Amino acid sequence: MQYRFLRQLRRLAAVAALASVAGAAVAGKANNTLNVAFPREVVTLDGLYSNLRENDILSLVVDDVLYTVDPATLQPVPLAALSHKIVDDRTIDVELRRGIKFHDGSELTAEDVAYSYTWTINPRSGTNFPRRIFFWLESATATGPYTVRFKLKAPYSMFFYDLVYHSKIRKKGAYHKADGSIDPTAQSLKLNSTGPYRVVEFRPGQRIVLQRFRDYRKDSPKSVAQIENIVIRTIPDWSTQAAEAMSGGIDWSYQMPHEIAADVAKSGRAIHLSGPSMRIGYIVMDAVGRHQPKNPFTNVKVRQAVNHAIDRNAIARKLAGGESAALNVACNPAQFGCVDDARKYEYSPQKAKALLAEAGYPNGFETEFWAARERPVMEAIVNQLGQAGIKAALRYVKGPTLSKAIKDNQVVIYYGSSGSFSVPDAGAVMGDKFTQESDENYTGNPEVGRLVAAALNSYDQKVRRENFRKAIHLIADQAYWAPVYRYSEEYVLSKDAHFDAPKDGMQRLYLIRWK
Amino acid sequence: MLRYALKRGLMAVLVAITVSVATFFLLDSAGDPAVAIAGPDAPRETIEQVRRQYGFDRPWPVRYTEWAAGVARGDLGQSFLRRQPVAELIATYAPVTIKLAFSALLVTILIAVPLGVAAALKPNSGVDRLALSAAVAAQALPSFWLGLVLIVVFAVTFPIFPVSGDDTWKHFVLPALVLGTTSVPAVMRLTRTGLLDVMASDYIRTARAKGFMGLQLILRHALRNALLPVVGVLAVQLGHKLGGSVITESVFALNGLGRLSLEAIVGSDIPTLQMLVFVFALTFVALTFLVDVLNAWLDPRIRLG
Repeated sequence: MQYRFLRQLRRLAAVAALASVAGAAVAGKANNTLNVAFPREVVTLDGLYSNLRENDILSLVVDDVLYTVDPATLQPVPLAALSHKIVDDRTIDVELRRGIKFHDGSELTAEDVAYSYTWTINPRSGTNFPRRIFFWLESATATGPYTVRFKLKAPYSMFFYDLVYHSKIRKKGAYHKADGSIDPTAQSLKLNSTGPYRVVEFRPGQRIVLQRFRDYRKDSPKSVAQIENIVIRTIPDWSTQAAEAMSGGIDWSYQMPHEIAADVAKSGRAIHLSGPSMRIGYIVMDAVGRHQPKNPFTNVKVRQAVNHAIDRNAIARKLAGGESAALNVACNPAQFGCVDDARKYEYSPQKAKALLAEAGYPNGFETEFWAARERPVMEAIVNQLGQAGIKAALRYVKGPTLSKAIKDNQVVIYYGSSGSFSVPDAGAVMGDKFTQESDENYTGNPEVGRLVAAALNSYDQKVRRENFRKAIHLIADQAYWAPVYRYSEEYVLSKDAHFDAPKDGMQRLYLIRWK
Repeated sequence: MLRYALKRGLMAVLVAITVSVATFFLLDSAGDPAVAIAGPDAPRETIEQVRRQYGFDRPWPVRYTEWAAGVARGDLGQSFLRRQPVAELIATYAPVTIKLAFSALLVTILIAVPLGVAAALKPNSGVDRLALSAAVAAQALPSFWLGLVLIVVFAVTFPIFPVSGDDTWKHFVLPALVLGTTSVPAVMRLTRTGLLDVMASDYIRTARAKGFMGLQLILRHALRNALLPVVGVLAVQLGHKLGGSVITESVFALNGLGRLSLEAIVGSDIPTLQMLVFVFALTFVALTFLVDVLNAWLDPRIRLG
């Protein structure tokens, strides 16, 4: 209640700004500088050491890797790579493009690529992606000045997408000191990379100034950036961001709550765009009894009751807004392999109550519902569960606390979300959540893990699609999850800036142009 | 006087130690630093490895002793989140907070003292009631709301000041107004009460008899004495502003210690948070100590009582 009141107050202040009629301040077009607002602090330039979306956005601008995703087709296309050859299902040779320059002027070679991947899978490197890469990559070795051989532990269909989003290329020796000791923070404050922009100023957590890299290749699939400078500032308060957008202080921001962004657009001083996102939200239930062996959610009827209790359409339309949509499957239907023809559970508190009664809970039961984000949505879910008879107490905690509770088997029902790293393949989310090794696999059903692994370990798209289909149907039939909604990405931009909302929700600042 | 100062100094040290122990214990209970370092998605083995590597598997009193010894040597620890020395972080972020705190204190003085004087000159009059109402209203306004309203009026509608940031003095005007306003009621009331007491004292009656009147009487004779307790309150308010500017710094995107605290909380950066709480507590303790000594020096009844 108090939260809602505070939210209303904040919104009131933002809406009050709409009434203002004074002329906007000079925007970035005049000095060819794109002013960007990030809601969270970037404390390192090195994307290998952060799992923030802000670092993903930054990395796309300053780092070039072997492959990139074509925003039109959403398929991986060579970037620093020239071509590749699949020698066998565990060996892939990649040939590099010649003449790619690091920001310090040196040329990219196969030695640099091999060093970068060897560093990533080194347990002492402490990067954020060792598990992701380590689980499939055995080694990366330079086989010539411009050729690299990747040896895989097992066939891995997500290979190219992982090269796009879970790796960075550094100069050989970047993390090693002269005496041979390692320094994982070596690229945190001063980055040497190959992207279309180079960092000219970095104040951790405060400000990043980027300048177009003069030696960037003209034939890059990322295209040549048109804006000379990008200045990124951290502005954590949405209302302040709204005021900055209206006064011309910022030219581009993202993730602003839909209602505030829409109000900004109404002022006529900035543009609001809603676009699709790969992120999905879902409820996970302890079907296997990891927390309590006899908890109610081990009963499939209770899990189905939860699925019937959630009004997905109302949550997507009235709370999330924008391009949000109800979700019925355990992946994003925009992803390859994510079939949307599995069993659907329509919103029906009556059916939920009947299923609870059949499961032996005619008067419902009490439980604790864990969550770490989108509090208004969580309150709605708890309320809807209550209407069906499940008296859930909301335990709203920080993300790391929830992660730890999940690992320690302390939760029986929680809300999770996955952005799939914007990868348009069901393997990105299902590989993370349903493999046997995943901490978040609460199904206790080895068949689910087997099907997902089969999809991940095959290069045959037909085989992959079929295995994903079977896994999705099994998850829906057994109601291991209660999928809730697909997220929307919100953007606010200057009227001078041209930006198309990306289909995969991955923000590529190098594509922004002045009108 | 020296004995009094030593006694108060010892008390201040004990308070600082107690605060540091309490903070360490509470932060230790609040979250798992191993998860904060390894990252939320790290596998269980990695988290256990981090726990052993950093010594989080040892009892907290042992770790506290190590931390305290480090602080005594000038080693304030390493930020988990930023992988930077905490001392470096505090040195980077402190100037903005100090600038904001002193600017806010100036705003408080400029508003509260004249209002207090006006209210004391005509007690229970319309002016007095208006001043009191304004002060109460200022105290009641949530600072984030007041901040946003000021932004709307003075940065968007009439673009006189920038919306956010901390590059120039102009960036500090609106946040100083927000932060300064919250202290106005306390300082105003104390100025009013002090002035009313002083105006009723014998030496003011004598001054009046000598022909001192109006502003000359107030400024040269009454206000000096009436402001003595106000100085003590201002010192405490300065402590509040140095440690309590989290919301204001967030709304105006100022890169100060408040913002740093908030990020440390969100990112479970326990070493940074531990040190920030300790620094804020030390600031309070030091300011209170200084005020105690100053008051005792000015008023012998305190040190002899």
